[in-house]
Amino acid sequence: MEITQQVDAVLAELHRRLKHHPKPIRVLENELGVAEGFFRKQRHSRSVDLGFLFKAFRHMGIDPYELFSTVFGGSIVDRLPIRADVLPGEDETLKFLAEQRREQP
Amino acid sequence: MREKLLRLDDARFDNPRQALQDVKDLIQSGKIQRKDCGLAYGVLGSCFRMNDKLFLSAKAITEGIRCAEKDHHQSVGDLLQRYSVLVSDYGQLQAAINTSMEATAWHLEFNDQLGVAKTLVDRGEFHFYLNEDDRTIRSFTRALKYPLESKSPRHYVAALLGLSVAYSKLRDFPTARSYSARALDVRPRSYGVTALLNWQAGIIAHQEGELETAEAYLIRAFDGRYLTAVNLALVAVELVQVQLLQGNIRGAAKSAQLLAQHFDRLEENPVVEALAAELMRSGLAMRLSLRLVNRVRDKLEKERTRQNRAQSEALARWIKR
Repeated sequence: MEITQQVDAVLAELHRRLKHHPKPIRVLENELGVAEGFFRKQRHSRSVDLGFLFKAFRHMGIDPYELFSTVFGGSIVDRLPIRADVLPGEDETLKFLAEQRREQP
Repeated sequence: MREKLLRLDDARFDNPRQALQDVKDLIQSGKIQRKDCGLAYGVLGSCFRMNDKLFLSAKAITEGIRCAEKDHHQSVGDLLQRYSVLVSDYGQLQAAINTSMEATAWHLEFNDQLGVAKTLVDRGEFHFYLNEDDRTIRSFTRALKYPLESKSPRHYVAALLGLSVAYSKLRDFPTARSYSARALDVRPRSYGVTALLNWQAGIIAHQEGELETAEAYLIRAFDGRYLTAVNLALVAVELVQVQLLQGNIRGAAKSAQLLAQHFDRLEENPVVEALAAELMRSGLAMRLSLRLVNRVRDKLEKERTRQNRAQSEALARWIKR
């Protein structure tokens, strides 16, 4: 997804959640206004200042990682740009570490 | 265990092959605990990267992120930071910046000031390669506001060197020199970094017309053990040029001959090998000239660009669209 599409997707999810948010609506409107203003601005820039974004989410009582995984699906790994799962090559140490992780409780 | 892994992480800059072997031995000893798995994957991935095994590096770091996301959130920032550098190797600088931003966010989450500073240093480099001079300078300068000097001298020196190179590019040599001098004052433990710092100080002195000073720095920079083949040849060319400008034809010929000591390294790249041989032959015949030196330098720089581009293009097909 392009950055602009990502921002739109996050914004849509944010709106959906805030409809059911327990906080008084006026407070929410202010917070949403701040977040929206931020999103709109970032939409036109080439990158998103995630530090600020995460702070805004936390302020609204929303866990950013949970929100992102809802919007983008699954774990951080699914959003990484390199397709590591299909890359050629194997390594014994990597296999060993994977096995060790499986064995450890 | 964590300290051992971090020590190996530092060692990879001077002896990548040995560091990779050591980290593999450490992991295969079976003593890595679950909480250190993310870091182990990260250090292993970075060691793979330093040994040009970029596919394995991507696999290791990705696996590390998967593991840290489940077991040890505190390592996610560090792993994303390593990943961002890898993405830049794949020629995806904007994606590298975005990943680095996410790493910053994770570091902020855990109030890891050192982690934030490290990501700023990496981002400074990505912006530099994108020719975004203002952002380059801003990233490195912001990084220097954190206590990097005492906690991560490697990143402190990288930020200073980055600023020096950025100001050189803008032809602000006095400012470039001040950052370069601060970096040299640190006396980094890494020979490779010291060679790069001396090279940069030599370039600045050359541009400022201080040829003797430039020569002294470049002689110190000429270290075949720690520079890549193309960089080693570029240092030799700069040194020969500075000596020719001083009318020291014999010294220039001698410097060209020094390349012979590192021919096993230069052989790694046929283009660099041929250009170095041309420089050495001309030195032997006492036929070195500024024209020849400039021509060799242009070709070496083109080769460096070609090498970088070829690597990025070969890797680009593994990038998700």
